[in-house]
Amino acid sequence: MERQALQSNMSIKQHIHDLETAINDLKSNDLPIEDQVTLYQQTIKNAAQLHEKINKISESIQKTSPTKHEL
Amino acid sequence: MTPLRLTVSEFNTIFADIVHHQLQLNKLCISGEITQFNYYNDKQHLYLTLSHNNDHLQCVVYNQHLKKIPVIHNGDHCEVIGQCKFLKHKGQLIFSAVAIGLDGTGDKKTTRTRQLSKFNKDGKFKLKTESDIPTILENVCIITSNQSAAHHDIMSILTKSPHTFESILIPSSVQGLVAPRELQQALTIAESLSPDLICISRGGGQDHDFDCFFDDSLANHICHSSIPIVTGIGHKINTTLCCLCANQHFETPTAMIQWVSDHSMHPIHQASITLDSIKNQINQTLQNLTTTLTHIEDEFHQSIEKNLALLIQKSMHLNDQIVTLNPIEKLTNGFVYCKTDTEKPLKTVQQIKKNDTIYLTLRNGKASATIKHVNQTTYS
Repeated sequence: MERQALQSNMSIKQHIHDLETAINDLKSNDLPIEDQVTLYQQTIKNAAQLHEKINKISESIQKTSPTKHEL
Repeated sequence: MTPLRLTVSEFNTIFADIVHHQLQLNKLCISGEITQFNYYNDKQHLYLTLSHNNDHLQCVVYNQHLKKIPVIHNGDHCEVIGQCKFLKHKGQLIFSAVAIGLDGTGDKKTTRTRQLSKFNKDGKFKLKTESDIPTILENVCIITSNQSAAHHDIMSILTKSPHTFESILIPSSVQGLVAPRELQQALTIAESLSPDLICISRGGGQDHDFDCFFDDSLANHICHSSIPIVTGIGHKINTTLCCLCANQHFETPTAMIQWVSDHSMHPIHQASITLDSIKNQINQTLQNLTTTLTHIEDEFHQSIEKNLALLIQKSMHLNDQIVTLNPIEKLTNGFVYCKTDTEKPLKTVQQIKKNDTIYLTLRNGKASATIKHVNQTTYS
């Protein structure tokens, strides 16, 4: 459980990093326009995936009830 | 010979007449040592025991003569003036005193004082101490008279009070001339059984009933016994030589056996207290852990909420940035993508010169153009 949560967080971190790289690439205008369009479409898709991932985590946190420490 | 047949009343009447009128016992002076005295009926009458050697006489001083009686103590030697009386209804002979004259200390008292002093001087009262009594008692020998009041009291307490030991009765006389020898024999038998503790006990009685417990030989046997010994002899006023030689002594048989029972249970009570203490400590530790855990959980939850909020904010910021970077949108807004003939994006005027061909990409198509003029202008 703990490992899975950790991997999920790492994945979001990587996701954000990838998005930031893509944004920088788009800002730089170094790529051919066709590649920029492709990168933009991929980036939009990735952003949507990140949004979905965050929503899932948010829902998961809302559903989690506090542990009962019964002795 | 035919016996003279009488009723109790007839006999007592005749005997009273003999004592009171025929024997001339109306004015006597008897000397002896006061070995016991008690006031009865709110100090209306004084009863005392006068002793000489091993013989004893019960005396009474009635109310009307009490004012003439000096302050007396056990062991005082005195002369008692009075008359013999036969109590008809009780069938009892008693010496009714009208005056008491004190004349020093009695032999018994003097002897006992010397005896106690010698034992004390020889350190025999310190040979056995309470601390030598083991904390764990499994076998206890009880030396007392079988079926006596003391024996019943002891068995009654043992029935009611929890204890850890098995008790073995070693019967013995506890008063009279043979008592010292029987008590020593009982002590030897008890020692041969190697119990954890030996109890010597008897109930209350006349002062001379306790003489056996002032026997030198018996007291020395107690002093040098390898097994701890406790005593519960008589009432609180009866502290005997044997009591002082024992590891511990008590005022009564009941007090003695109650203490022994409680003493045997002491380790169990201590263990119980320790266990309770450990339980409380564990509970306290668990309580602290629960509090800490709840605190950590709250902090963790808040941290997650905060990080999640930051994540959402970051995600929205990225989205906003991405939207502004839509290349199609740029072309739609009138911007053109330019590249050189080396396929490199045309970003600066230094990349081109006159007559170079550049390639343009527009919203809905492509075009190429030749550079006719290059004018370097810097926009700040």
